[in-house]
This record gives sequence, C-alpha cells and structure tokens, in this order.
Amino acid sequence: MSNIRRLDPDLVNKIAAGEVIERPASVVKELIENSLDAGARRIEIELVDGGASLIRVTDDGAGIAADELPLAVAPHATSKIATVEDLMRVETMGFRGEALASIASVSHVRVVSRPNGVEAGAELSVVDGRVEGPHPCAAPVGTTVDVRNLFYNVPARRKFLRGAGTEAAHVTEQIARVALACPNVALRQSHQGRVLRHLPASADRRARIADFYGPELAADLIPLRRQERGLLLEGWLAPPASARVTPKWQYVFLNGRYIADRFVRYAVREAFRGLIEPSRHPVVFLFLATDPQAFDVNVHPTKIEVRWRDAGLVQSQVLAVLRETLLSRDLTPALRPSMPAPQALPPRQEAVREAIADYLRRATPTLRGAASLDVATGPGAAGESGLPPAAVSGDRSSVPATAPSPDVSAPAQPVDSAPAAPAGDGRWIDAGPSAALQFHNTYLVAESSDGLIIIDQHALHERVLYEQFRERLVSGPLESQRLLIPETVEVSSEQMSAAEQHRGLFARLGVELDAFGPNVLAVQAFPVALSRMNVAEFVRDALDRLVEPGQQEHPETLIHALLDMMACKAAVKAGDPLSAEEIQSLLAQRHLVDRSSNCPHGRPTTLRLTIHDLERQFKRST
Amino acid sequence: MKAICDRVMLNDALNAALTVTPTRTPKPILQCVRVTAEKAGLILTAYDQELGLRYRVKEVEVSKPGEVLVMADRLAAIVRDSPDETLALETDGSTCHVRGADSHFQIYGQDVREFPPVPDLEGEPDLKIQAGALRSGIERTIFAAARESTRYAINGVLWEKRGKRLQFIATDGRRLAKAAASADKAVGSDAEAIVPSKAMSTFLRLHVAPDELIDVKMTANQIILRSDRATISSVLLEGHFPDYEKVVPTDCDKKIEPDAAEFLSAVKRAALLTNEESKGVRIALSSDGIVFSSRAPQQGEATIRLAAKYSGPAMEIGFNPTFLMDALKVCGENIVFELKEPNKPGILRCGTEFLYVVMPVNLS
Ligand SMILES: Nc1ncnc2c1ncn2[C@@H]1O[C@H](COP(=O)(O)OP(=O)(O)O)[C@@H](O)[C@H]1O
Ligand SMILES: [Mg+2]
Repeated sequence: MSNIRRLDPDLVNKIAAGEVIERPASVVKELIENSLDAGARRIEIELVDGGASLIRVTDDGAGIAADELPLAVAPHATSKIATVEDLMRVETMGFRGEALASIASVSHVRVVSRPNGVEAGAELSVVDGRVEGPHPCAAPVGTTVDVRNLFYNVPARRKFLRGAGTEAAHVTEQIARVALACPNVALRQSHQGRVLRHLPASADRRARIADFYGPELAADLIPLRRQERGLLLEGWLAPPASARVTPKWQYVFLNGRYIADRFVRYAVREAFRGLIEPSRHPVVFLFLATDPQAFDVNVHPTKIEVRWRDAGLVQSQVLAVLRETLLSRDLTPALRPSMPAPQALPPRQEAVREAIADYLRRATPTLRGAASLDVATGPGAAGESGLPPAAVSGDRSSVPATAPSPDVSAPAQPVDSAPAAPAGDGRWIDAGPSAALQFHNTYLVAESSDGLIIIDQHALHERVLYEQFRERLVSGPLESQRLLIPETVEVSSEQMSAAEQHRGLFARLGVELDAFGPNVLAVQAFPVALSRMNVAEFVRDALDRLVEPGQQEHPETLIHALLDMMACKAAVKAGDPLSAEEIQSLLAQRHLVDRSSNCPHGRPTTLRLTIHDLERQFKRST
Repeated sequence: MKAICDRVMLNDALNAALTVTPTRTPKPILQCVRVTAEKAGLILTAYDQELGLRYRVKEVEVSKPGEVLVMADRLAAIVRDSPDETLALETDGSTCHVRGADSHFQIYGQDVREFPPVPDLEGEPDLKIQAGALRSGIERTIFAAARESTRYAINGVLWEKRGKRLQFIATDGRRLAKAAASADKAVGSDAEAIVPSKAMSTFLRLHVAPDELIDVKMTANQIILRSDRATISSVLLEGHFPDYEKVVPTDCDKKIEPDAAEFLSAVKRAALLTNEESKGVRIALSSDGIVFSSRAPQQGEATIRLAAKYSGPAMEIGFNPTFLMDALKVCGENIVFELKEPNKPGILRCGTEFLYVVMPVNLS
C-alpha cells in the first residue's frame, strides 16, 4: 500500500528543474535573464567543459543585498512580481522565482553580489542542498553566479549531456538570442579560458547578426518595419535565395524575449510560399513589441511560447509586413487566379472555352486526341482567399504564382464523382499524348473543362515522389544501392551523434552510415532513387535537419521531413526543360498519388484559371 | 594554302575534331580547328587545353602549303552538307575559301598564332599495341568510370603498364571493371596513369583498323596515343585512385556459369518492369538455375527463368539491372558469375582478361 505524502522541498525543486534545466544552455539562459532583469549593461559568460564543470555568469547589474541572498536561491521567491495583476503585465524576463532554486537543486551554486552603494559584497553557496552563508566578501558591484558540477546528482541527465563542443554550441545559440534582443548590453563569452566573442554595446542589431551568422548573410538582409494596431514589427528578412534547410534561422523576439510561435512561423512560411523551394526555410529576424497585456508568457516554464490574446492579428500583421517587404523588392506580383467556378457555363463562356481548347490544340501537335479533355473542378481547390497576391521571383515573372487559401488543410469538395479523380482535383484523360504545354521550363499549362490548369512542375513531381517513397516505406526500407567504395563525409560532432542516434531512421531511408573517424562518416549504402544526387551533400543536409536544436521530434515526423527533402532534391526543378514523354509521365503519375493538389509542404501544385476569371479579368462580364 | 581534298575523308577528320572542341568555353579560339596543308597531307588540329587531336588527311593534293584557323562547327557543317566528291581549300590571309562544283564559301578565320600549341609524341613510345586490343580494353571499362564524382580521380580509367600487359581499371564507387590487353612491344619501366574518359571516347570514335599498331607514351602528366592518321594527347587526372585490389572479394563461394547472351537478355527483360525508385532486379539461384524477377509498384511484376548449372545453397540477391547489362554487353562469351551473400559484392569474370565487381541493392 502506498501513502500519499508531501514531497520533500528539495525533491520539488529537482522536479521543477527537470522542466527548465535541460542542459548547460538552459542554465546560461536563466542566469543571463536574471542579469538583464537586474539592469546589467555588461554580462560575461564563462564555460569550462561545455558547462559541465563550470558555468559562470557575471554582471554589473543592481546586485542582491546580503540578507536577501538566501531568498534568491529559495523556491518561489522573486522580486519581480507580487500580485496576480503583476503577472498580467510582466515586463521582466523572469517572474517565476524558480530558476536559481532549480539550478541549485541539481548543481553546486555560489552567488557573489554587491548592490550599488553598499560597502561590501556577500557570498552564498549551496552545496549538496545545504545553504552556506551569506558571508561578507570583497566583490565588484553586480552579481556573479557560479554553477559547478551540473547534474552531479541526476546521473540520467548528466549522461545525456553531449560533448563539450555541442553543449557550447547550444550555449552560443542562447547567447545569440540575447545578443540580438538586447544589442545595448555588452557581452563576452569564453570557453576553457579562451574568449570566443566580445560584443561591445551597440545600437546596431545587424552588426550582431553579422557577428553570429556571418557578414554575408547580414549584408543581404532587407529591413522591414510596420506599426499598426498596437503592434510594432521591426527586423530583417533575407532574400529567398538565402533560404536554409532548417527553420532554426527564424529568430522571433517579443518584447525582448526570444519566442517560438507557430502563428508567426506560419505567417513567415506563407509569405515566402512560392518564392523558395518547399524544403527550404526563410531566414528572418523579427522583433515584435506590444503591450504586455496582449499576450501571456506563463504557458511553458521556459517561457518560449506565448498565448496571444489575438493570434490572428499577429499572424496577419507579420504576413503583411513580410509580403510588403518582399513585393517592394521588385519581386513581381502575381495576378490572383481562380474564383469559384460556376456550375454551368453561360454561352459566351462556353465560346471562350472552345477558343482555349482550340488554341491549345493548334499550339502543339501532341495535343491531338485531347479534344475530349475533361477536367472537373473542386470549388474549394483554390478558392477566393482574400489575401494579397503572393509574389514570384523575377525570372518567372510572367506566370501567375500562388495565392492560395490560408487554410491549406481545408478539404476541397469534388464536384465530379468520377472514380479516377483525386479528391477536389482535376481529372486528366488517362490515355493519349501529353495534353500540356511547358512554359518557362517551370510550369505546365493544360485545358480544363472550365478554363486552364497551371501546374508547378517541381511541386507536382515532388509530391509524386514523396507519395511513392511513403508508399514504399510501408512495405519496408527504401531500395538502396550498396557502395563498393564507401563515400566519406566530414561532419561536426553534433552531426556525428545525430547519425548515431538516428541510425534506424536512416536505414529505413536506405542510407547506411558508419563512423569512420572522429569527424568522418562513411556512407555504405545510398537510396537508388537518389542515384544522381551528391551523396555527401545529401547526408550533410539530412543531418542538419536532424540536429535542429529544441526540436524533440517524433521519429515519424523526422522521417517525413527527410522524405520531403529527398523528394525535393530528386524532383525536376523549376527551369528544367521537360520532354513530351516526361510531361506525359508526370501528368499520368498525378492520378496515382493521393493529395496531388498540394506538394508535401502544402504548397499547391496546381492552380486553375477559370473562364469566369478570365472574363472578369478582361472585363467582359459584369 | 591551296589544296584539293577528298570530301569524305575530310568529313571524318572534322567529326573527330568536333569531339574535342569544347561547346562552351571562356576561350572561343578553342572552338576553332587549325587546318595545316603540308606535303604529307592536310593536318587538322583541335584542342581544349586538356585534350588535343591532330588528324592527318592523306587523300589530298597540296599545291601550296599554308595554314588557317576557322570555327570547327562551321567548316564541319559545310563539308558535311556538300554534294561534292572533292573540295578545294584555299586561304587568303586569315580567310578560308571552300569551293565545290556549285559553291563558294568564305569563312573568316582567326590568327593561327593565337592557337595554343598541342603536345606531340616525342621520343620512343612506351608501348605498341594493336588498336583492336586497346579498343576492347577501353570499351570493357570506360562505362564503369564515374562521371561527375567529387572524387576527381575516379572520373577516368586507370591504366597500368605491367611489362607487356596493359590493365584498365574503372570504378564509380558502386562497381568496378578491370580489363587487360597485351601489347606487341613494350619498353621502359612499369607505369600508371589515370586517363580522362573524354580522351578514350575520342580514340573509340576514330576509324582505325583493329590490327594497326598504336603507339602509346605515358609521361608524368600526359598520355599520347598515336595511330597512322591521328595523334591524341591528353593531360592525366590527378589524385589518388582507390586501391582496387582491396575491393575485389576473394571469398565468393557460389558460382554459376550462365550463357552470357541469355543472361543479358534475362536481365534486360526483367528490367522492363522497374522504375526510378525501385530499380532492382532480384536474382534467385537454386538447383533449377536462375530466376530473375522485378516489381514496379502500380505497374506490374516480371519473372524470367534461365537454366544454368548450380549446386550451391539457394540464395537471393538484388542488383541494379543497368549495372549488370553494362558489363554483360562487353564482357565476352564464357562468363562466371560469383556470389557470396545478399549484401556482399558479386563478381562477373570472363577468362583472365575481364573482371567486374558489382555491389548489390538492398531489396525490401
Ligand atoms: N544577477 C542578478 N542580479 C540581481 N538580482 C538577481 C540576480 N539573479 C537573481 N536575482 C534575484 O533573485 C531572484 C530569484 O531569481 P530567479 O530564481 O531566477 O527567479 P526570477 O528571475 O523568476 O525572479 C530574482 O527575483 C532577483 O531578485
Ligand atoms: Mg530568473
């Protein structure tokens, strides 16, 4: 029989630590935030052994009075809020009063502090849960917190720590977030006694971006700004060509706090839709400022998520500023295609339809036999979106791009119930030659019963391959060619451990990786479907995708992310000329897969331009 | 320069030159062919700064020696489409006149002195080998060379001179082909060279009688092949060619000796029902012989039986059919196919002169 009993306070702290303190980087984050809350102008972060042996954060902030030191390390003790009303309008980074206590429950902590105007400093230690001090001591104004032997009493966590290099990289990521949020605070970072970074206080965020991510990226950034309805949006976006394989390059800050917000993230993806390959992710640095009452950060102990009072507003503002900025950069706007199709075509529209059919028939000899083309249309397939037009990049300017409904997951409703028709999508005549024309080596255009269909060749092929891979995976791993002479790939230690950790996942994809040296992987087998691809590049990109920090994703999610990437890399690209046979085979495969109307990322593969639209655009109908 | 030239022979020479001239180059002068008329004939020279060809047309009457440098594709097109048996070539400064019975073309040429000098065979050749033997050695390996590998050295074929024996080895990391040929005469010490594929395909396109002797000279960074009419010079690929002997398995315990033509036909037919992402053909060995099968999702399945003597334990293994066909097309008649395990390489041998190691695919 078990009895219910109150947990010992030390155990409570340890449990709390489990939520917030995951690795040295989390300690650094909490300590820096405390320094910022204390009004520090200078913060120094020192690490030994990636933080496993020592993390020291020193600031020149307000300091802690000697008699308050014991409270600072006590649980649920904070100087930052007192009432529930305070909680509703927090402007400090911390407010839970939990961090120091949590840290002290899983490490050996020493705090030395001297408030301004006080003669002597004071020192307090927590060793094996016992508080020692405060004792007076000599100290500069400000606070120094030493954290030693992190997780000394939590072997599971300690074992989970990666190499010093990896942990230091996570710490750098945390420092970067603070450095970008607070450019007016000077930062110094060192590891094993070597100064890695010394950032003077400056008004220039862009200089800090250059410091962390390289001058090239910083030089290409396009500034953006918008202030509307109580929300100030500032920052930069990188042009579509700088898109990355991982979404970690989307830095979003709210009132000086780094956040991961799905509404903002969605808006970013939406704004770049059609401008970058679906497997790539835009690079943006967004700084949002708004009334603290417009959101709640008390959602998650790490405060990385927020709950918006009006998420729709935030999303639409972010989308608007990104689109405006992209459009102002001479990325030619697209026309907005596709209104809902009328059920029956009036006579004059019937005539236009005939004319289009006629044109297509004459335009290409391969269209013989296509006169009976009969394509059904789902009214929801790409309905009236109410969104501003999306943009297309310059070299494909004359072809309309996407302006899809914001809710891409909304199921479209098929009008035609022919069995071969994928839900909500067009139906193609199975037999006969290719009934499409290729434009700008990028889009395929074909006739439908009520107008035109425009297909993004890359998006469609990507979808087809993705579905084929997915289907294959059900019956076992992807077919893979073994290598006679293994190909070697140089990787970081973080990538190395990801390769180790995700061995099974790679095996399912037909990729066999062996460690070949401290930083070298040997590829022993590689998927047949990717035979034309650069092996090393693929492996590196895949590992990049897997080591995105902060994403403890489910293996199924990861495998699909990699399938996406494979499909994207193996698919024909925009700009690839296709032969009539290739077009035909691509269109034929369109039936074979489900959901062919969207690429794996939800980007539409197909747009329709109905006769009704054309009539409206040409001002021929009322 | 003034010369009357047999059109067909000139056409052959220009076609050979066109395999050398680069289609895209920052140095447009390399798209020209140098035409030199001298007593012994008309010499055409093409060069892309790595690969050079000097081709002698003997069926020509030279009344005035001279030289001109003209766009190769233009001259080739004029010669190809001409209905004449002979054409008259004449220069006037840097302009080249080409006259037929009813035609007169003037091609504005460029300054001959601008054309870079092309290396020639100097001194004694290291080897004299029959053109047929050389051709077969190349044909049996060149297909296995990598095309655009970042491992630069495997984008060519390794030539190894071992006494009078010349060995050719090529690999793309997935399979390896090795062939050997005997030279009629060899001097000097053993040597190795990694020869770029383009140099060898240029050789394969020459019309040379199989019994004509080809002079071969290998230097530290050049290889030169010389026939009666043509001299091909090429830079060598640098880098480290993989240690091929290490990857040739020595422990294959399952042997089968199918008829090469039937084997090829079976693989070819089984490959009809494969597609991009499931390419593999399954090969099942049993005492009944070999069963080839393939399956393309959504398309269908194929089974082909081939009688052959086999007494080992039954086994199944998958291969990329293209890899098998590539080798079966060139290997010769009496083949031995050796296997060990489904995830270990297979070997195809033909006599002592041809060896092919191929890695399997993992079929699910
Ligand atoms: N670097 C620092 N400078 C001044 N005061 C600090 C510092 N670090 C911690 N404190 C004090 O200790 C208290 C507890 O810190 P912490 O456990 O992180 O909780 P919180 O930041 O949520 O209040 C803070 O409220 C603050 O008063
Ligand atoms: Mg805090």
